[in-house]
Order: sequence, then C-alpha cells, then structure tokens
Amino acid sequence: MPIIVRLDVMLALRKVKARDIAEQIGLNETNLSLLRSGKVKGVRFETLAKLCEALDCKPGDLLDFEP
Amino acid sequence: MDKIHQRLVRGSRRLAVAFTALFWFGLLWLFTEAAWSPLKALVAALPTPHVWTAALALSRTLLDETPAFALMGALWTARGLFGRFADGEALTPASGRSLSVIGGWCLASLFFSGIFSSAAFVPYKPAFGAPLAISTEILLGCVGAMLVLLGRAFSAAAAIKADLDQIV
Repeated sequence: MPIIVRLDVMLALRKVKARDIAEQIGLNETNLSLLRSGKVKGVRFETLAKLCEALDCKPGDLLDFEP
Repeated sequence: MDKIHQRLVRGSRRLAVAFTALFWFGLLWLFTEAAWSPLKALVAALPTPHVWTAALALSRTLLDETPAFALMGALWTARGLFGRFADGEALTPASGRSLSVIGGWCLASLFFSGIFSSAAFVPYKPAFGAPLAISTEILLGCVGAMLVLLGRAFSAAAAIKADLDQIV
C-alpha cells in the first residue's frame, strides 16, 4: 500500500498519548492502533477531520504517499 | 446496543428455545411413531426365524422416515443459527452458511421423499375448498431453495460488513 499513515509522528510531535486522542475523538483504541500501524482499508473523512482537529494539523500531516 | 438489535436478540433467543423444543419433540415423535413398533417387533422376533423380516420392516420404516430425519437436521441447524443470533452474532459468514445448510436440509427432505417415502407427492387436501395443487414436500423444497440463496446473500452481506469494519 503506497499510503503511509504518519499518525505516530504527529502524536509524538504533539506529545499526546494515543489513548487520550482515542478518547477525545470517540474512536475505539483498537481501531486507532490499527490506523497507526496502517492495517486498515480506509479512513472516514469524519475520523480524519476529528483527528486533524484534535492534533491541530492537516490531513497531509497524517497521511503520506510513497509510490 | 440499539433497540432493533435488542429486539433481534430477544426474538432469536425465543426462537432458539422453540426450535430446541421442536427438535426434541420431533425426535420423540419419530421414535414413538416410526421406530418403536418395528423395534419391538424386531426384539420379539429375535429368537424366531422371522428376525430378518422384522429387520427389513424396521429398515423400511427408517427409510420411509428419511425426509423427517432431514427436517430434524434443519431444526437442529436453525436452533444453532438463532442461538448465534441471540449471542449477538447476526451478520457473520457462519450465519449465512447455517441458513444455506437449513435450506439444504429442506431440499434433502424433498429429495428423500421422492426416493424413499411412499407417502410422497400426495397433494395436500384441505377440509374446505379446492385441494392445493402442489404437495407440501415440493413447497418445502421451494422454501429450501429460497433459504439456500438467502444464505448466500447473507454470506455476501457479511463479507461486505467485514470489509466496512476495516474502515475506521
């Protein structure tokens, strides 16, 4: 999959725990962990928007494309 | 858990209990109606030269009842299916497979009634009005075919759900 999830980097930059973010955006911790490891088939715009809002970033900061 | 899901769980639990009761009642009925007399005759004929005749009579009765045995299989599978629904596993590939298996048992019942049962393909005659043109066995076979297809649709829906579950 050429799409790389950079959520880990963003969490480290913002110094936030994954558990706190999961609670803040109302996402299952397991699902957030799957998203961090890139083991999901897709991300809803709704989830992406919540993550961007919580981490004060843009979708491009969370996702990357490496062909 | 939302209201629809709760209702599904409650209804499924009741149906699972009903199917379990029907299965055991059916088994008892099959034994008393079909197997008890020939078995008694076989035991009585054991010390006599008529033992083979009695054994043949028993096997004939058992063969006649194969459609009923297939329906017992359908009841047992239905019991398992609704038990799984009651546990909250509604849209799973296993449920789709069970639904197909129930349909398969109904089709097997039609198949066996065509081969073994002497009472097969007798049109159902209601007390009032014109008799039904198709027999109950054929009707059951149609329901079975429908359930097999429904089971496949269910499996496809479960696969789609599993796919959607991977989108966070």
